[in-house]
Amino acid sequence: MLFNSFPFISLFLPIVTIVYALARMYFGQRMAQAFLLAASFFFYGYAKPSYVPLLAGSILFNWAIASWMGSAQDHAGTSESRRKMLLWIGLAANIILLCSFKYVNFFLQCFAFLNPQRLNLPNWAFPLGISFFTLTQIMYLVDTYQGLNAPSTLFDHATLVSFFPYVSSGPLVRSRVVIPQFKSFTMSVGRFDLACRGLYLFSLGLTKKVVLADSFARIADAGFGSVQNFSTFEAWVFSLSYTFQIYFDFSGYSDMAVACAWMLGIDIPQNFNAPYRSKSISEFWKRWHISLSNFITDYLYTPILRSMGKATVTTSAIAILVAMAIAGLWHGPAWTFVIFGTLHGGALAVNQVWRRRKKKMPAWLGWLVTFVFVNITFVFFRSANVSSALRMLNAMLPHAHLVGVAALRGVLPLAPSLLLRPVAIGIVLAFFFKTAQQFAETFRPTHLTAFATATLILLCMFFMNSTAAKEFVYFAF
Amino acid sequence: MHSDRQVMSPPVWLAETIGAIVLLLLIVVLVNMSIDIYGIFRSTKGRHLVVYGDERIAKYLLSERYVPENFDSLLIGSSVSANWNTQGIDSFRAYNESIEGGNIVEEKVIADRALASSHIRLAILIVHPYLTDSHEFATVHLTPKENLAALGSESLLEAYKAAARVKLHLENQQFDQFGTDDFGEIPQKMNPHMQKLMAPGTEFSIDETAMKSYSDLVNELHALNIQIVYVIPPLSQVVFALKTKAFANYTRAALANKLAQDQVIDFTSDEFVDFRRNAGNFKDGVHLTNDASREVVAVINERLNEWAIQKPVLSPKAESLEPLPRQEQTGAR
Repeated sequence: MLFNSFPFISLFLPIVTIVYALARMYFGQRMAQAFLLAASFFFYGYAKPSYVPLLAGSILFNWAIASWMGSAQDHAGTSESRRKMLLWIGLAANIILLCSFKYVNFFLQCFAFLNPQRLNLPNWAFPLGISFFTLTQIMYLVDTYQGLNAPSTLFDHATLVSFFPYVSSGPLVRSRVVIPQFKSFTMSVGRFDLACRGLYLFSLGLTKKVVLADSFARIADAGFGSVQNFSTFEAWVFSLSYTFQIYFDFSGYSDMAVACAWMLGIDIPQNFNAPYRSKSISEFWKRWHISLSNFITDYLYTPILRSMGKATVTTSAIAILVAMAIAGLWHGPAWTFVIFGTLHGGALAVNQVWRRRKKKMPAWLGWLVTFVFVNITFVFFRSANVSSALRMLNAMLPHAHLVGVAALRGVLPLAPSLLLRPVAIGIVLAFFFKTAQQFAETFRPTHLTAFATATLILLCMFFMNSTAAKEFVYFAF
Repeated sequence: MHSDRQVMSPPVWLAETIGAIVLLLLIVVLVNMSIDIYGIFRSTKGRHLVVYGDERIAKYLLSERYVPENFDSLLIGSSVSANWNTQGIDSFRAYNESIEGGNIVEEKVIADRALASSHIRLAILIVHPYLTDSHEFATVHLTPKENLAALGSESLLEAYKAAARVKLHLENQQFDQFGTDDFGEIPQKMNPHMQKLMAPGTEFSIDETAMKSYSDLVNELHALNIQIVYVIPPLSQVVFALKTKAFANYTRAALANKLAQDQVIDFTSDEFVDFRRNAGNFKDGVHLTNDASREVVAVINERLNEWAIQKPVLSPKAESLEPLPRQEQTGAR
C-alpha cells in the first residue's frame, strides 16, 4: 500500500489511528500494540500477501538468534565464543537472504567467464522492504551482541520490524529507541498535540511527493528514458530534475513515515535535513538519508577501520571507500550503484584529508562543489546502465550544442507550463525554505495551520487523482 | 471567533482540519459534477458537449453517456479521419471517435465504452496502417479511473482552461459536438512517424498487439450485430503509387475477419484516382483538407443510402432523444 494512495489516506491511516487510540484507552497498551502488529502485517501484505511469510520468517529467525545470544550471556564462562558464533550465523543468514533476492544473478553475470553456461537463477522480484527490514535486524543483532539492548520478546520484535510507517523504506530504527515507546508514551508534548503535528507533517510530506517529486519525475523520466543527443542545457535540466525528484520523493516519504508514527504516539528518527544546502560532502551525508548514514558509520566504516588496525589517513580512506561501495551496492545489483557509492566514498576520503590539513574554502564554493558533485553522482544512480550514465554525463559537458531545447520539448509529456510551477516551487523549497521537520517542530494549532493542512491535502488529492500513483523511488531498493 | 494566530486546543484543531478537508472536497466535487463537462454525471439530453483538453480523455469520457445517448453510429479511426465531419451522414447520427495520433488499442478502449450501450448499430471502421503500427497509450492509460478524474484533476483543469479560452474568444473551437476535429487547413509536412510509415518500397510494420485489438474489435462488432463499413481512406496518389503493394497486402490482412454482410469503401481504388491526384485535397499527402473530407463523407453517405443499411431499431429511450442541431458544414468554426 502506498502512502500516496487513496486507500491509505482515506481508509487505512484514519482507521488504524482511531482504533489504536481506542484500543489503548479501553483495552490497554498491549492490546493496542497487538492491533498495531496486525495492521502492520496487513499493510505489508496488502499488495502481495505471498511476501508475508518471508517477513514473518525473518522476524522469527532474528528474534531466536538474539534470544539465544541473550541466554548465552546469562551462562558465564563459554558464553562469548558462543555469542559470537550466533552473531555470525545471524549476520550470514541475513546477508544470504538479501543476496538471494538481490545479488545472485548480478554476481553470476560478473563472473560469467567462470560460468560458460551462463547459469542464471530465477530473477525474483525484490520483496517490499527487504533491504530495510534486513538492515534493521542486523542492527538489532549487533546491538544485542554488544549489550546495547536486551533481547526483545517476539511480540515486541515483530512490532518493531513490521511497523508500517517504516517497514517498506525506512528510516532504519534501533530497537532500544522504538520498543520502549510501544509500552509507554515518552514524548514531551501531549498525544493529541503530537497527532496534530503528525497530520500537519503528513500533508507537507505528501505535497513533496505528489506535487513536487512527481512533477520533477516527469521531466527526469523523459530524459533518462532515452538518452539522446541532448544539448548541454537539456542534459543539466534532466539531471537536476532527478536530483530534485529523489530528494522530494524520499524526504517526502520519510516525512510521511515520521508523521504516521507521530499519529500513533511514537517518535522515529528523521531522515533528511535540507541536504542540498550542505557545504561539504561529509555534511551532505549528515543530512541525507541520515539513518542509512548512521548505519554505514556504525556498522560498516567503524568495523572495517578497526579490522585494519591503526587508524591512519590511508586506512580510513580505504575504509570509507569500501563502506560506501557496499552502501552503493545495497541500493541495487548494478554497477551504477557501485560507482555511485565509490564516488561518494572517494569524495568523503578527500574531504577527510582536506579537513585534516585544515584547508578552507569559501562557503558558497563549498556548497556549489558539493551540489554539483552530488548531481553528477545521481546520474549514475538514475541511469539504466553505465553507458547511459556516461552518455548523459558527456552531454552535460559543454559542447557545440549548448542551449538547444528541441529534445526537451519533444520528450516532455505535458505542457511545460504544467510542470514549471511545481519545479520552481521545489527549487525554492530545497534551497531556501524551512524544512518540513522544522515546520512540524514549530507547529501551533491555529486556523492558519488548519487551513494550510486542509488545502495541501486537497491539492495532493487533486494531483493523486490526475495520474496513476507513482511508487516511491526507494521502494525499489 | 479566534484570530488566525490564536492557538486552539489540539482536538479542536483536528476537528477543524478534518472538517475543512471534507468540506472543501465536497465543494470541489459538487461544482465539477454540476458543470459535468464530459456528461457523465447527469443526462446529456439536449446538451451539446464538445472535446476540451486532452482529446483521448475527453472522447473516452464522452463515450460513457453522451455518445450512446445521442448517436447511433461511430467513426473509428486515427487522425486520418479525425477531421471528417460526420454531420454529412444523414441516415445515421455518427460520432467521430477518431483521435490524433491514435492507434487501435486506444480507439478500441474508447469505442468499447460507447458499444456498451445497445444503441450503436453502425461502425465506420478506418483501415489504415497507422492504427496498427503501435499499441501504447499516447497520454494516459485510459481506464474507468478517468471517471474519478472528472471529479477534479489536472486533465479536468486543462479542459476548463481550454473551454475558457474558447469562451473568451482567445482560441477557436477545435471540436464540434459530433467529435470532428478541425485541425486547420494549412498544408504541412508529414509528421516523422507518418513519414517513416510511408517510406517508399517497404511493407507496413504491424504491431501484433494492435492487430489483435483490431480483430477483437471487429469480432465484437459482429457479435453485437453492428453493421461494419470498412473505409480505406484516400491518400495522395504520389504517396500511394510508391506503396501500392504494401497497401494491398495491409488491406488483405486488416480485412481478414470481414464477413459477407460487411461493406467496404475503398478510396484507394481506381474509382477515386482523380480525387487522389488532386494534391489540393491533402494537407500533407495523408490528411485531408476540410473540403476534401466533406467530399469523402458525402461518398460515404451516398453509399450508406445506396446500400439502404437498415436504420437501427432504437430503444424507446434513444428514440426520445432530441436531435442534435446540425451545424452548417463550412468547416470553419
